[in-house]
Amino acid sequence: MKQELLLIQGTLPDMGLQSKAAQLALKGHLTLRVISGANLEAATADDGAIAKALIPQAQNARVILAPATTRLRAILPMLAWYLQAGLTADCTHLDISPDGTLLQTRPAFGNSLIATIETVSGIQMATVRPGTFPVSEGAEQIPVETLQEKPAQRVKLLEFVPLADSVPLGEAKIIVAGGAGIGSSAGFLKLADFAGRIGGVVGASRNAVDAGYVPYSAQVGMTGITVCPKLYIAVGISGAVQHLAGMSGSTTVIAINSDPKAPIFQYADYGIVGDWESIIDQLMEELS
Amino acid sequence: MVSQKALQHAEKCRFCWMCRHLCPVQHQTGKELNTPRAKGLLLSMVSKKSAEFDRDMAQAMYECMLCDACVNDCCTGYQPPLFIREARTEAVVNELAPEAVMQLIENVETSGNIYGTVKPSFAREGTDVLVYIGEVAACKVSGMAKALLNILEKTGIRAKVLDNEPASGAMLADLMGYVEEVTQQASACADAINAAKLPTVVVLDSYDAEIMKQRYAEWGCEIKAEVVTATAYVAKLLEEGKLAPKSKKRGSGVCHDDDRLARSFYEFAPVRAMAKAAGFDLAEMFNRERLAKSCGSAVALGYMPEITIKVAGGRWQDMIRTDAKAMLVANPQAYLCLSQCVPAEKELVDLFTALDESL
Amino acid sequence: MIKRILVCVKLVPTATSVEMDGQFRLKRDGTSLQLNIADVSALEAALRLKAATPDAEVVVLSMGPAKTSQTLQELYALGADRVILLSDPALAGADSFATAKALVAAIRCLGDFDCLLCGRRAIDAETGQIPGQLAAALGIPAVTNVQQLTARDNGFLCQRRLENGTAQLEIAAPCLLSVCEYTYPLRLPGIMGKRRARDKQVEVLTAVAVGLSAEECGLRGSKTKVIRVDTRAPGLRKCRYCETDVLAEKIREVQL
Repeated sequence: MKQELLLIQGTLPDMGLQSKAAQLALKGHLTLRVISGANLEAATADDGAIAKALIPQAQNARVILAPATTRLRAILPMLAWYLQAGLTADCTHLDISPDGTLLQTRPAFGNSLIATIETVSGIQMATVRPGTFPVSEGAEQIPVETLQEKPAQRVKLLEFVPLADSVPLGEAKIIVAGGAGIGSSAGFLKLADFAGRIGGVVGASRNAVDAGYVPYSAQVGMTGITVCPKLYIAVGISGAVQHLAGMSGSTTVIAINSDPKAPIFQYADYGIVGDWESIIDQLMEELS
Repeated sequence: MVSQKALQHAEKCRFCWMCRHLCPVQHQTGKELNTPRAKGLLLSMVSKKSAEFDRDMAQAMYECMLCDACVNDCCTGYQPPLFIREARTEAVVNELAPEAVMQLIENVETSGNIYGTVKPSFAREGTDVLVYIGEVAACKVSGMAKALLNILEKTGIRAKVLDNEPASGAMLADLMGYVEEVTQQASACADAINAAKLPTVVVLDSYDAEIMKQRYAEWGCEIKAEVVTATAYVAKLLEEGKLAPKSKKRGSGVCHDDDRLARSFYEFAPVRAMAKAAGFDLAEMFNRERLAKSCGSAVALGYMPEITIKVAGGRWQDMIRTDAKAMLVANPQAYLCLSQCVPAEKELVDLFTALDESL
Repeated sequence: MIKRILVCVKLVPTATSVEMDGQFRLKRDGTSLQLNIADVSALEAALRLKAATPDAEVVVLSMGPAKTSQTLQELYALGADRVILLSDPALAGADSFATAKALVAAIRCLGDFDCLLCGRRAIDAETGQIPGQLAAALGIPAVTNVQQLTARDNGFLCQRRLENGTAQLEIAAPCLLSVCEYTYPLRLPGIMGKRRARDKQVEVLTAVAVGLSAEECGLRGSKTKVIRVDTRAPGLRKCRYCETDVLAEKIREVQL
């Protein structure tokens, strides 16, 4: 009988997921094992090789979890194929029955439908949106094994250029996001100035990216990245479903928009209706 | 036949008929076939297979200035030029386009411009701004191009003009819609402009400016320099006091807002500032600014001179209803069309030349 | 030399048709479909590779309902040499495992290739798992989240976007590359392309034709199943309209 809950951590370990995995293991009567592929990840650019190295580790696994980072989102599907196991992407909630059946919940169709999924195969696999679960005490004390194999390289790393931004969007505490309502690249420079002053990072809606105001790397939403900062300030963003999908996990949401009917207000804790530039000016004054 | 999006637009029409009163072509021809809604209806019939896209239908798709007046006014967000352009593509693909249109396309293929001639060169070296003259000004309204360059010279601005200035793609886009051949022209044009490595490109013809500013980026051939219309650029020089026109009374005039400035750039003040600086007392036509009536385009004048001259005549009628003496124009295509039928005792004035003369 | 490029594309509901109704549920307009946004980049990348190599061939593969063939036909005008639609009612309801299985079966029928390109994920289901599953099933190396790619010798140089930076990678052909949204804007079809496309037809393959048994297809072949779907108003909050002083206070709180 397979009886392990295997958590695979990458270069950016998700301690919240580690806490959650411990709870699930307890409830599902499984033994928790945490493997860090970070060592391998750094050593190889070949995701397929990491997936292969993980196959023997998964022999006793009933459940395999991993944070949905870019690399693990590539590695897990490969591993799932090798194990002929079902895999659910980007879960936002997990539960387990005492017999070890994993209930995987994920938003479908831009977050407005929530699907709960079960796996038919013997091994149940899921990736989880980073930052979904809170970190509970003791998560760090769980022993972590490290993958040491040196696999064959079919992909060669030539260079790694770290992001110029001091804080990546996904880890920012404060995000100031602009939409099409910002109107220009110059407008975004102003937002960046404001964000810098309050210790935040600039994000953007798809419309603003499409309009060419900001690079794609700033895009929050379904086709961009998912964020859950402490404070999310949405400026000139109407609140399309695609955008809401990427930011609804924020602790506090502030909406600034000139259109009182903009849907974003229904997803915000605080709102101001008015011209964004003068509101930002006033905020800067009050915060200085 | 046309894209899903275009068909949605064609079928969006609720037959309110308001565009009938706005369409400069149907105004002059009186033909129902010339209304934007009729063209939508035709395409809708083709998609439902109750009619075939034939030569006559293709002809109807070309009897349009693509001036956007219908788009500007329609409250359903109906965009006839979207499906009209696509229908033109189909007409060319299926060899159904009017012969005169095919001739212009051939001219573009052989000479790079619709006139099939060697484009006169305005090439000069300069280090401040790049000026993009465009084929209509270069071939047909050279006075306007010279005047713009003179104005810049008198301000001390060293303007560069490209040798063998490539076509922007605006003409071809009117002839065959937004297709790969147009993006290839656009890409060559953007490359040439980017190679000049100047921070600003001043574009004389707003039809060129429109395609550069509003299409190039989505086609992946963005111009790195800031694209400015010549009117906005000159108006800014006036505002900054870098141009000092002598006060000279020239009588009353009305400004014609060309199709692109009116409905792509919403740019109205610069032309009027230029007119005032040149010494005109301004009157206004009823159909102005966003509602400005088209006076035709150079490409339409090329393949259907008769209708285009009628359309230009329609604009003169608007002007005659005012007391003004002169029609003031800052676009080479508008100048070319209006010059075909100047009414007795009225005057057509190129604002760049007028301003240059008063410096 | 990159001679044969395979591109997997999916047609998804158009973004504009994904609107909310009064209860903040999605309105799904089943008739309006467009190429998935990341697949657009993959397709354009393939067309550019083709343009750079004489005699190179681009083969497009899609899986979906029969009605999508009309939209797929337009890809001939862009320069695709073959457009293949794997379409069978039996394939409906496939999860990513069953989808990958079906695509692999079709790919095996299409012969050797130097490179398999696809979008990094589709905006409808948004799992992003197909690229990895395809690579594992085909036994080829892969790079996902590619933001830039160029052919070099017998492989590719590509730039991969990761959370904390970008990696410059070199990968040997045959391989799989999944491309990010907005990497390359899709070219417009040309007059000549449209003329060439006039009498070309999308090749439609059934599940049986690619050698799939009923047990491997669709819901039956899936390794996961949806047991419950709940609608919810995602993240609905109670908005307090206020002045900037309240916001300033809130910002200070978070800064601490």
